[in-house]
Amino acid sequence: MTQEKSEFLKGTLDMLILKIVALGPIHGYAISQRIQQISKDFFQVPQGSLYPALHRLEDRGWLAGDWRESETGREAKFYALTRKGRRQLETELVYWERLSDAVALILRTAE
Amino acid sequence: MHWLRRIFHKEQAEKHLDAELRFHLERQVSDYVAAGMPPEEARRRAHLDFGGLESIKQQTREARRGNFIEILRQDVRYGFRMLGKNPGFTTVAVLTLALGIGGTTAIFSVVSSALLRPLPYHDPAQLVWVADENPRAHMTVVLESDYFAYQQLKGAFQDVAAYEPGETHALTGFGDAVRLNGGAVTYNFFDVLGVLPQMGRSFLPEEDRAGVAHTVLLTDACWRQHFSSDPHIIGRSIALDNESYSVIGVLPPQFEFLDNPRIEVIVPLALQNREISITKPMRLVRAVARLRQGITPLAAAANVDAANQRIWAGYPPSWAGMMEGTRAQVLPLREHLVGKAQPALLVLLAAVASVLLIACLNIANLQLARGVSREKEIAIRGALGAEVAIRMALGAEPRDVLWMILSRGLVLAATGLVFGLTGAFALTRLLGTLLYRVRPSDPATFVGVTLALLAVALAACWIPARRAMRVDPMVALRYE
Repeated sequence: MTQEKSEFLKGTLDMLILKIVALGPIHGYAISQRIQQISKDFFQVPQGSLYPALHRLEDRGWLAGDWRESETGREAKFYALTRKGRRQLETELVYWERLSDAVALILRTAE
Repeated sequence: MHWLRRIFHKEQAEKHLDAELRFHLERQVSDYVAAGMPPEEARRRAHLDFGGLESIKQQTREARRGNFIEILRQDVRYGFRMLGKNPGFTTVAVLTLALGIGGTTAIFSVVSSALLRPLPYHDPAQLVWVADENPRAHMTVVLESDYFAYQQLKGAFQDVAAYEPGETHALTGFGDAVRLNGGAVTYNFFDVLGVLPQMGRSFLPEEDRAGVAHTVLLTDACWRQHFSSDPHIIGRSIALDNESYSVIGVLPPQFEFLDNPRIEVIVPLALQNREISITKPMRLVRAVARLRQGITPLAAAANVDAANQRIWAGYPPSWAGMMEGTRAQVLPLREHLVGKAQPALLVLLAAVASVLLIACLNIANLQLARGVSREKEIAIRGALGAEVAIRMALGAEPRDVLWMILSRGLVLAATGLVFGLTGAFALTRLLGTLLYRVRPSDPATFVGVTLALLAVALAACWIPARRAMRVDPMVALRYE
């Protein structure tokens, strides 16, 4: 099940990150905590996927990184959603909704 | 300039990445501690969660495509490897490129230095070469007495000067004896060309006579090479063929003697025979003239022909017969100096340019059709198409794939350039010894040609690359 979860996560991680960052500037550690919490421990994002994803999204101009003081007083890199990132998130959400609707429809119809 | 900033900030980016990951790790540790774990255990667990720090860093770096130099280096290395795998293709491509590049550069360098570079004289368009062409004797020169007659043709020429490139002189007294290329001119030669010495003066009329004290002018190259740029050279005596000559001037660096740019020392011609005579030895000279404003070379030639008829009427009968059929020739100086080579050079240039074109087409073609062709789609678009399709299917961005193909082409072109320019350099040196006014290495030409050729080579790679990108990844994968 762990294997399948991580495969599933891979395809949706970008969208999840964008969605969480959309709530306000946030650093990498908090993102991984947030994903874990909100999914009620269903997803645990390994750092080996999280940071490459963050940097890839930053490189594409969807996220903007900025160093500032964290809640513990230490400097941390906070990510914020850019306008381009917001548009990307919208596209991905629409796509996701259509996909899950389609999957749900098949599951229901095939019953 | 996104990537430029990144190169300079690479070190900083590396530091930031480290700090970012470390922050994560430490927050994890303190959260575990807060949950009641002993600090040692918390640290161990956090590290365990994290996995290999270095491998995460590497993956994160790779997630950024931006590092231009890094990518270039990888692609170039990849390009070399791919070429190494196809020695046949590589050899053919590099050889054709080298041939095309070498030929084009050499010939273009010759053409530009011989044909495009202006003559280093004042208002060179007004300068003409004057000669009498005798078809039977195959001679195109001027008899010294005739030269004096032409000086009177004020309707056609502002002035006429005579010159003779010719003898070598032994220079002694400055270390080992050396042989210098010498030329001889009438005193007004430099006035006709409009050339002023950079130091000293040119000849005076009274110095252009036989039996007076010897005077000499040095070219800039001669002055630098044999007299170590001596600033006090004017007025010094030098020994040429064991006779003493007084140096009266040094010519400017851009000056080139007519017909033979390698001439280093110039002495007065000292013509004496103003009248024709069969008892004295008559000298044959060459003549250069400055046209009067508004006179065409053709009109001037008619003037000279008319004058010749008068002069030859006074010749001894035996000579008059010899002059029969002789026609005046008044040619723009440029045409005289490089004109004979001009059509040949242009034809050659066209020939080597087409070799280059063929070379580029070949490369485009080879890129396209390299490897064993497979079924339909692949067969049409070639192995490159399959490779591109696979990369695209694996998630590469079109921009990256395009760049990969271009960088491979660049590697090819650069290798071809190295061979080609080496050949070109040798070829221009050779041509420089055969043709007038050709400089062995004209840096501007070499740089210009290099840039132009790189552009052509890139275009030759671009076209097959664009075509290959159109392959549907699914189709390509099915045949791979």
